[in-house]
Amino acid sequence: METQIDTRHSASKSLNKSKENTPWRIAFRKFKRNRMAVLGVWVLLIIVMIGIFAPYLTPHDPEYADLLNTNGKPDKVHWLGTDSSGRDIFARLLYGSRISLIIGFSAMLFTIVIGTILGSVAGYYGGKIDNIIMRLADIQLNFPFLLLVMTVVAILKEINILIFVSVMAFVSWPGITRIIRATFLSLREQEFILSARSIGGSDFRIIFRHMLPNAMGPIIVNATLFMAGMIISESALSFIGFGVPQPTPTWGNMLTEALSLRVLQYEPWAWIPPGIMIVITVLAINFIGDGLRDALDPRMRKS
Amino acid sequence: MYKYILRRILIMIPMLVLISIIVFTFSKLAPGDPFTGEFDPRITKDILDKKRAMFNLYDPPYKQYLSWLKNVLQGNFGVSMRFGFPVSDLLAERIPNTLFLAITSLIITLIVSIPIGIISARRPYSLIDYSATTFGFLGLATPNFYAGLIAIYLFSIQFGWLPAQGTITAGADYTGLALFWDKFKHVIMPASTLGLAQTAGYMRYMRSEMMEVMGKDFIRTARSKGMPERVILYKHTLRNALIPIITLLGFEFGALVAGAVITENVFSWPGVGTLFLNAVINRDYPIIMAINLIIATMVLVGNLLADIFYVIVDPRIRYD
Repeated sequence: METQIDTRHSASKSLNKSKENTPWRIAFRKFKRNRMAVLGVWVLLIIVMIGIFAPYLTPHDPEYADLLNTNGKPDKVHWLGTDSSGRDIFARLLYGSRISLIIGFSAMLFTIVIGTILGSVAGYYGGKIDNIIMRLADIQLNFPFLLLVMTVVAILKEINILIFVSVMAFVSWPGITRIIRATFLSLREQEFILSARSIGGSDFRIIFRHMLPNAMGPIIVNATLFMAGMIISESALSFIGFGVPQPTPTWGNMLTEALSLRVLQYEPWAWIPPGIMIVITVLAINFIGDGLRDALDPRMRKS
Repeated sequence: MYKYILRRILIMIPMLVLISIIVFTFSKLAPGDPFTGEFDPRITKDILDKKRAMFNLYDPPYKQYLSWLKNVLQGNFGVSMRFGFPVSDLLAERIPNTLFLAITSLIITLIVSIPIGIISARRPYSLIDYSATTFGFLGLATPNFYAGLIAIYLFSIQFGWLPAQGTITAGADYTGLALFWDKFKHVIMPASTLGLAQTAGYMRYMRSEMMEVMGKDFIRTARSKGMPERVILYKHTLRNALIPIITLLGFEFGALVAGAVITENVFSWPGVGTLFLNAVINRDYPIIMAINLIIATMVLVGNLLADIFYVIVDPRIRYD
């Protein structure tokens, strides 16, 4: 661990000389040695591929409702049967990975962008603006995530994927903002920032050229773990009917079927697979996140 | 220290005011008012206008806010648009159920995660440690409603051991021990699946916390003094490792109550969560706002208690 901090320090001074040991390269090598993290990458890659190539993996349209064949059992045509509206469950499972991943990723991206902007402004400038942003974060953190999302959805009346993703990001900015702010606060006091300022670097340049690259570690790690959280939140919200509206398939709204006792009891093929997909995806992302944490930010590691 | 506690309580007041302003703003942003759903044909638009004026709905927002706040402080959250009952009555009926569920969930979390965390920390990389780690990863990756569905499928449908719905067996007049047992059988599944992620998280946290404390100098000192391993483990290590765990509870409570919205729905548990979900579906805004206000306040108080507790049990913390 100590050697890494050392090389990182010297590498930032003479980036070009020692191409072998740039911090990113060291991190990458460390990451590759973490077997679970590498496994996570492969699993996630497979799930992404399933999402991309879904049309080639199944002939069925995931949104086509065959009302003459509802709650069908698995057979040669419908590998996992059909749901209560007669839609092919296997096709929905494959296409669902597309929607679930896109929502998880874009909600994460929105949140990271908002959190990074607010967190870096608060951490860099400090003082009044920092106070305002952090008090707002404190207040919003008093409202639990699901409660707030559902309240906003109730006020909005209408919901589509874009609105849904924006609401999730709007509601979850405080956590990431706090983390970025803390990173910036500690960076601000370091000598290389002082030197950048003393040679007349503008605030914009200091933030983007000097501070953000050094805060990339925590940002990437938290982004990964956040994406896993977003996928779980999406599934929970879609499950109770406040996420992505039908017929668009997501793993969460596929699980809604299990609210019917008959499906729960007699048609386990309709609700067990989407849940397993969620668990596998979140597991893979969490493994990647843990691997990234160990590789990028040794100080964050516990024990 | 009392000064610190007093100051923390005083800081809470502006926070509470801001929370109430946010909740009030939500209710103003929401479409409709308590009279929008009036279907009685005898009530004409004229009467509605008069009623609206009577309830000060034409006043400027700050005046409305003040009168609303006055009502809330007296425990009056308005009337449910759907049920026609006062919201406070509905809440009084539901809150005990949710508290029962959340507290049981916390107890299960603690009695599962702390011992397993200790064992994992004492024998790292043993079979128990590996199983605990596996459970930890799975618990953090499984949405709690999915765990609830699987629990119902296994324990209610396949094995028939546990009831899948409600808080007590309907129609059965149990008393004393039988009543307790019946309640226990109903709460065990929702409570343990509600706290699944928390249990997994605490277990990992407990393990790393124990291992960190074990590496501290004062543990080595205790060992070199010839103290029995048992005393070192339970008196010196555990006490110090528990501090952050116990304080985490204060923060966790809000998360549990929010998670209950979904878990209660899976288990048809008549608590605040199902009330909230139905209120959101029916756009019953007085209920939505009341629950938001109450839970935000509970989270705030929980955080305050956690902070105060932290200062009391850990003399190393400076509080000036």
